[in-house]
Amino acid sequence: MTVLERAPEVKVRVMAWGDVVVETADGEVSGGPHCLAILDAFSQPTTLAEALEVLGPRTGGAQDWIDLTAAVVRLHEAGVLRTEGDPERDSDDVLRATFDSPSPHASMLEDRVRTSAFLAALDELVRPDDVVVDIGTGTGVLAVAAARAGARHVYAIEATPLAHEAREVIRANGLDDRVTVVEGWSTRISLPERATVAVSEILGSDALEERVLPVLADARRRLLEPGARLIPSDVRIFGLPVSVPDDHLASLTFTHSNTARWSSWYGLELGPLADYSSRRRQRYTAVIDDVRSWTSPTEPVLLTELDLSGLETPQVDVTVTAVATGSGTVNGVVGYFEAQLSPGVVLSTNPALEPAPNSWGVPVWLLQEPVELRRGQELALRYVHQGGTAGSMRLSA
Amino acid sequence: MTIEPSSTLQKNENVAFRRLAAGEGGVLLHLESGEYHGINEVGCLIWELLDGERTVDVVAVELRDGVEDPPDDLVPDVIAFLDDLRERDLVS
Repeated sequence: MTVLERAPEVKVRVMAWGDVVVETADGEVSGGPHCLAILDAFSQPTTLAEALEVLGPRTGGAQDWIDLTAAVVRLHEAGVLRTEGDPERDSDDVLRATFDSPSPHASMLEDRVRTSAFLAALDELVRPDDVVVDIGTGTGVLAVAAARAGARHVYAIEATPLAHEAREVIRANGLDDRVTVVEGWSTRISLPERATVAVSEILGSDALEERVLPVLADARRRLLEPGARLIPSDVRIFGLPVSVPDDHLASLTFTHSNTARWSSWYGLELGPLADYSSRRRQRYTAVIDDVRSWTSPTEPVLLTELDLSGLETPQVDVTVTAVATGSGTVNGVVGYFEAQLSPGVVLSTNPALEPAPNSWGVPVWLLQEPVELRRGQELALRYVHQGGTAGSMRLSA
Repeated sequence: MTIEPSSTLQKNENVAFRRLAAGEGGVLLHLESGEYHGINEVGCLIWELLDGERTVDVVAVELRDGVEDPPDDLVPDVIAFLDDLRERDLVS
């Protein structure tokens, strides 16, 4: 049973003619004359049947009831009434908040290796007459490159207001007749034709955290021709059990030594914070250069190789065994990926590469309890991604 | 799975029902698809008899009281109607 609740912050305008308009991140939606009552009815998680029990008596007749329920449907479709704990909506909020500013886009453009690799892959794969869809076009750079590479038409999809800037960039390059910017989430829009190539720079530091798997699975179903070429086409994800040095941990989390130090500095008792790490899972993003010197008693292990053009399910749940080649303490796992953009272009975040190959970071999962490993001992790494923005990593010796 | 006289069907809980003016049938709204489905008076009676416990043949027997000049066997008509609703994800 679907339980709906009102989005946490809703801005409404009451119009002179009796309608109530709700503003959403994607635009506006008309809530009709019963809108305020509907928003009130769904202020707590409520089923449709429960809400209509309250709202039904307000309606004057069958047509009024239809108008009211149609408003419920519109508000639901617009995300004003959302499924309780809907991971996709929650992920959308996280992603929109992350990418609705110049900073991540400037960082990606400043990353010459990354952007040049995508441009090279487009040059390699796009043929005349291709229809290209660029999912998450951002500043429009890959859409412009796809058109320049010869695409007959490019659909550039962008969910943040940066779509406006993308449009200007496309116009400045004289390509507005061949590139169409479509505002919204790719999973909720339709295109007038199916694309033969999909390019999507939606890889996070933990490769899957920007929802590349569910987004591409949806695109394959609805937006792409069968056999469409994908950029990237494959992603290989690796895990490296590591010993995160104490001085690095001290500014990241609560430890016995830093809580003792803070207690003495401030004349307070902060010792209880040190138990946090044993109770909670922690994951943060590290700079590649910082990670390189960390020691590891094992070799990196391939956690999974994902063929993005043939993936059956957007979930990943794999357990892989690492064998210790030396002895040491493991208190975290570093993840990194290799993305095959085209047969000739690979991007990697492997910290062993020096200097840091690009501006991505690497995810570090801290263990709740450190593990002592001896040479030859096995360590099982379980990597799980359910399709939202957060993946998890667990270790068992 | 085909619907049998002994089958029991559940209303989809994301569907809202409203009768129209007397004698004009009713309307079913599917919340997820946003589609409205009009049903006639007999359809309304069947919808109201669906409680997740009555089997199809019990629904057919009770329906007989509300229908003028019912045919000898109402079960095939009830099954055909429920099949239609199931196809539209209104019942399961």
